[in-house]
Amino acid sequence: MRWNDIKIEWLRSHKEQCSSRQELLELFNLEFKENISFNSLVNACKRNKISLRYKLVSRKEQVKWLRNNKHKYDDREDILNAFNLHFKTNADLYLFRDLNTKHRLGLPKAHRAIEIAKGNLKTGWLKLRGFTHKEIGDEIHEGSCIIPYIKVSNSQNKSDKYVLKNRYLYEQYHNETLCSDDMIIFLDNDNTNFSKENLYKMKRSTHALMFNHRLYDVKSLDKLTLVKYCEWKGKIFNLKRNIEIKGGN
Amino acid sequence: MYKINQVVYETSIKEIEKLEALTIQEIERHPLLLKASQLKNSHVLALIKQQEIDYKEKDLTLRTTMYDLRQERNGIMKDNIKLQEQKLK
Repeated sequence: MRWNDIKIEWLRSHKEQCSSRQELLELFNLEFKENISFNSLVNACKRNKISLRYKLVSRKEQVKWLRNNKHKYDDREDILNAFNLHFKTNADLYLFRDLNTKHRLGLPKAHRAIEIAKGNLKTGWLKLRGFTHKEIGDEIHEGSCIIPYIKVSNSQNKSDKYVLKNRYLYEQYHNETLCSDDMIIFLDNDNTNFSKENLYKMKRSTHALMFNHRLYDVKSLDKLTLVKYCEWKGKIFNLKRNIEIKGGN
Repeated sequence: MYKINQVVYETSIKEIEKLEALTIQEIERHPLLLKASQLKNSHVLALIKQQEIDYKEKDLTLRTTMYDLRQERNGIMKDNIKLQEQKLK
């Protein structure tokens, strides 16, 4: 149902004439041939700043009704439907759970809802939410990382399960296994170009040297030249350190 | 630009090959070899940095020229709009 100006004006003019909200609701439904709920009426009044003086039915009365009628129903959904029909409300099972606990009503169990939940548990929430199982060789994007990961095994350990695409492809191109000290860079700075010529293996220490000498953002020279320079620097550094260690011993 | 690029690349490759061919004992006997390589390395770094400074300077000049031209164009457009307004009046 759509709320228009005529209906709002009608509510404004008739709210004083009715002694309760229930009466106003019934009159409204009769006038416009509608079947709106109590919640819908209250929300419309709130939106349009129409103050309703009287509550439809107090919570005490609702609780009393529940206490008196709980024996007539076997399932909580049935009593919920009867409750909504009787009080013209839009209550749900969550509200009933709270009422049941707060007032110790001892309402019947929601057998049908429990059965549905059990069935969903068997199906698994992954399938219910539309997730699909990834096969070996499939790509996934994780977090803010631009480079995708490739699934390589069904291992429980995440680091064994997924490998960065550039590392995976480098291993495939050159038929070698990379260690944790190796890293693969893109020579043309394009993270989507996975061609054999564009992938280059370098040590993490070389990368650190490149970063510390602020050579990472140098635009006047190509990356391979800078990497070679840093490898040279790393070589000198390692030799010096080896000599120092030997001298110390 | 191409020349420095080539110099850095070739020097680096040559020096890496040279150092890989040497053992620690040889370097200990002739420590000046490592020293010379280190000096060359520092020299090449200075070349790279100078190259980068030149590149950035050129980039800055080009940008400044571009902004000046844009400002001039905006001025001309403003004058044009004023003229058209006067014509309409």
